[in-house]
Amino acid sequence: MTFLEKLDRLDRRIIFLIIGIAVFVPLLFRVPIKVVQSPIVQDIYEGIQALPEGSTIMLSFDYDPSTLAELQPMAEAVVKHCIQKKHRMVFMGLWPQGPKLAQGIMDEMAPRYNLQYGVDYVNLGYKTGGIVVISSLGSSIADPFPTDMNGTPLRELPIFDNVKTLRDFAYVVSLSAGDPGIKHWVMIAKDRFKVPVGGGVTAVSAPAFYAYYNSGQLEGLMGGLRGAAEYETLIDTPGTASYGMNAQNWAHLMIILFIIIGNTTMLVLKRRKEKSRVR
Amino acid sequence: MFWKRQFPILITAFVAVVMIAAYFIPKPGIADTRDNLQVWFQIVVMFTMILGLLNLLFVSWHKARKGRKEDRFYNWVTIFSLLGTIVAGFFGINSPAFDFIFNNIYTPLSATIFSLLAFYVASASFRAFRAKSIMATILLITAFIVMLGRVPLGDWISGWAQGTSLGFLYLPNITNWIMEVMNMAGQRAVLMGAALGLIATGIKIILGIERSYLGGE
Repeated sequence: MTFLEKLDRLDRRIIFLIIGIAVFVPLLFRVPIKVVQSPIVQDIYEGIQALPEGSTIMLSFDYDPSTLAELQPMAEAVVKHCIQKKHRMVFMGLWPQGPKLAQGIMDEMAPRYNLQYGVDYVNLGYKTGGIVVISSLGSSIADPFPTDMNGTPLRELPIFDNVKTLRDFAYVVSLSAGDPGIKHWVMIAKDRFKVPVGGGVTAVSAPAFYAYYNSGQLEGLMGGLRGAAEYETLIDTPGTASYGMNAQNWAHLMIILFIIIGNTTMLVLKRRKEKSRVR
Repeated sequence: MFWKRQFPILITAFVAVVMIAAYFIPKPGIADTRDNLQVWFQIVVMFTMILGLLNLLFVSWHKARKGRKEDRFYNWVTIFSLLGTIVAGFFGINSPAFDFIFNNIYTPLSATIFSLLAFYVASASFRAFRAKSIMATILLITAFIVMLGRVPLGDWISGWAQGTSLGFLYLPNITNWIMEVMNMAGQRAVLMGAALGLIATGIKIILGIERSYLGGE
């Protein structure tokens, strides 16, 4: 067996090992990387930036820990931006695990920035029903969520003094890993109740949402770790995504090299086969 | 027969017509009916979750006792994890036990399984991503550009072109163009096709032509 034939049948464990090293080693050296901003991410940043100080923003955590690596840095970046602008935040989830992930962020941020629960932020928790929950919020927030995540009635939480329905939110941010998610927020919150909707999705699903962005139904979108890194650069607070971009850089480079090697060996071996057939 | 076939179709048609009408006629009477139906929907969905939970429990219980010997252990793990999480949940969603399960077991396991995807993508890119035809070659070149344009490497390689008359060669710009023009045109076509299909299926369900959701014959 020639070298090229061996390369063509490369054991996939070697590929796994190379990718593992390419991801792991750059993560050891925590070097934040500033990335070039794309208009689609800049638009969501500017949308939140342009709101008057103290606006109330809905943050829907529509994902579970499987997509944590991509979506949690986005959530952290948006929350930091809201804190910088002194916006009030209402968290909820269309996925059962979402509110707990939001709570994880706020457990860290609230003491650091001296935020008061019920005044500066609140966590409504999870409710089944997907798109119907969003639609119910349009009638009254208390319909699907009579209490917050801890069982406190909404009337006892000052943040809801002037916020009664979905229309009273200045902006909706949905961090979404699938169904139900950002598409449903666009369909109900934006299209029916005219509330601006932006958000973030995994890199693999981002291409599907460009049509909504172009039509103006989606204010802006963060796609994958890159989207989160762009947002971190915009708020000038490097976080997990900016550090992770180094690893993604190397992983992409390795995958490109694998594709080049795979195609080169295929072409050379194919040509050799054709030559031997002619002889 | 009426209760099994016609009655569910009548309920479906009624609910669908009310929901559609409420979207276009935002008047109190119909809006109240819509709100009530939405509450009912949430209650029904809640019960389907309980049904799913019981189903998982019974299926795992059956397999743990009578299934393949080598799989029995995993079914016991499922049963104990399920019951353990439920018991922890009864102490409250913020209880130390529930926090421990969520933060130290569920989250790392879930993230790990999804992360394995990167390794399989890399392996598949080596074995399957081959320029065997013109279309495959176009796809390959596009993927190359997008992969480079989405990471800082693309910026470093083509940074020299930024701000010059050759700005169109700047990889992040090419990537944005591919995503916002080429990709979007394709996605829009898919979305519109799917939406038209959805409307057609919806009408068929309302009229009782499409009955497969009722099960049975």
